[in-house]
Amino acid sequence: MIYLKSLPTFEYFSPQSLKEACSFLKAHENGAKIVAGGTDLLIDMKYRKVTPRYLVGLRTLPELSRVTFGDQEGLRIGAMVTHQEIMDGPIINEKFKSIALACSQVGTPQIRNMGTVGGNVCNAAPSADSVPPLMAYSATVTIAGAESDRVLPLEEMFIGPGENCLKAGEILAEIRVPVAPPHTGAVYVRLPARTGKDIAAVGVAVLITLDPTSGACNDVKIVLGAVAPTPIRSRKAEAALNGEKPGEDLINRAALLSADEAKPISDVRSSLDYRTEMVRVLTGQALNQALAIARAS
Amino acid sequence: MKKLIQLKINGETAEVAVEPRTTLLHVLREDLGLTGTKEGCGIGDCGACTVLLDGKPVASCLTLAVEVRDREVLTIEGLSKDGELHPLQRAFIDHFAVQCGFCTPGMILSAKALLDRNPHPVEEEVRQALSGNLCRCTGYVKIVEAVLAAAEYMQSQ
Ligand SMILES: Cc1cc2nc3c(=O)[nH]c(=O)nc-3n(C[C@H](O)[C@H](O)[C@H](O)COP(=O)(O)OP(=O)(O)OC[C@H]3O[C@@H](n4cnc5c(N)ncnc54)[C@H](O)[C@@H]3O)c2cc1C
Ligand code: FES
Ligand code: FES
Repeated sequence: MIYLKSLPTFEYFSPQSLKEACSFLKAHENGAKIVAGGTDLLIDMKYRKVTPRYLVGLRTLPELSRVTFGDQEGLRIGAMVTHQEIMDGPIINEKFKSIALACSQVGTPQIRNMGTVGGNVCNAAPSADSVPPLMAYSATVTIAGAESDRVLPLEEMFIGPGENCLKAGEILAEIRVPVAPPHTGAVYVRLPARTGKDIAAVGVAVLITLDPTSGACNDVKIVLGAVAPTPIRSRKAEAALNGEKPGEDLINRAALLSADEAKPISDVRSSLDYRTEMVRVLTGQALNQALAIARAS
Repeated sequence: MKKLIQLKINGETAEVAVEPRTTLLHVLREDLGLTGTKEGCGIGDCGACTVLLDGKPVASCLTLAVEVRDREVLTIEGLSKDGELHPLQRAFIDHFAVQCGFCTPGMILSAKALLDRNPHPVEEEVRQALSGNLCRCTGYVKIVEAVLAAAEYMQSQ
């Protein structure tokens, strides 16, 4: 596919409030788009895949660039917070390490300084690295609208590749991540493992909360990235582990169930067969790592 | 429609008329004649267009000039002081880290951002910091050596 190095023509709108941004988007329904870091959108525009009449920039709204934490309300990440800010955030590194790790694996230093977590979510790529660990933590999204706001589980944001559930005039304002109970381990593993220019061919996030007395799983979340039209929960594998004491056989069985639930495609990055096998391998690794963290905590 | 905006580039204020679709890269090269910043891929992959925006490396090919208003831009032209090369520039020459030179401005700026944050990097940290800058000539070894040597030199000063 060819692209042009110059962008198509558009008008730039800089709103004074989130409400004003929503109203503007609503008034220009199909002609206006949010630009956050631009690392997905401006490329799509250079390819002329999208040619919006208006871009609405959110840099004038500092409330969207904040990260806050409270023991009760948990972690709140503004949609405009960059991957680099997440990976450098002390609280996120201390209490939500798998999220920090996922963001540290996005693209290159330049892309991490520009790309936002809100853009990563809204772009709705099946391979979006920040999404599996956020979903494993049962994150919710706060969506601002021209008339009213709504809150949804993050996993309900995604409809298909590149397609999110936002309606005309809606903007993702914030991602909220509840604090996990004690004895929880959360990890994100992806292939290729090294950061660089490669987007994930397979990503697996796991969160396990153990019962400290029995050692059984109180809560298990397994989220697969890049192996289905959207990031997906691996519910059969979760069900196999919930309430059980996880030993080697059970972990192997859960990993097989995850591989079975994945619906990957073959593309330039990997074949279907390879992806399926890697879901099994990575799920096993992620479960073992998460268990080790949960047991040590 | 063009808008008049003020940018702070290499410590000086510049006023330029830009269309919304104008990238920072275009302003630097075409309006201000700062051709040290290179255009490679134009889509965020190669790092040739790297500049420091408020001290952080970004791809200027994907940065809208209208969004750079009131922020600080550092390009390769802003590194030397009073005709003295920056230690990183010196080290790139001394360690043969430059061949065709196309990647060099971006490499040096990514390296500067690293050393500003972390004056004693180990090799792996240098490689990480430069992972968004492609070089088609050197094979990277000399570049990494140059950055480590510059770090050492700057410590000794
Ligand atoms: C070289 C390169 C490497 C990359 N590597 C990775 C990688 O390893 N992993 C990965 O996950 N991604 C990767 N990406 C993709 C991209 O950088 C990320 O998806 C990034 O997080 C997108 O964020 P952004 O702020 O740049 O979004 P934009 O490009 O600004 O926006 C993306 C889309 O979301 C919409 N949008 C943005 N914010 C909002 C909001 N608050 N409300 C409603 N809609 C919104 C925009 O309208 C647009 O449609 C890479 C990109 C490049 C260029
Ligand atoms: S020209 Fe900007 S990254 Fe290649
Ligand atoms: S010296 Fe030629 S691209 Fe690096």
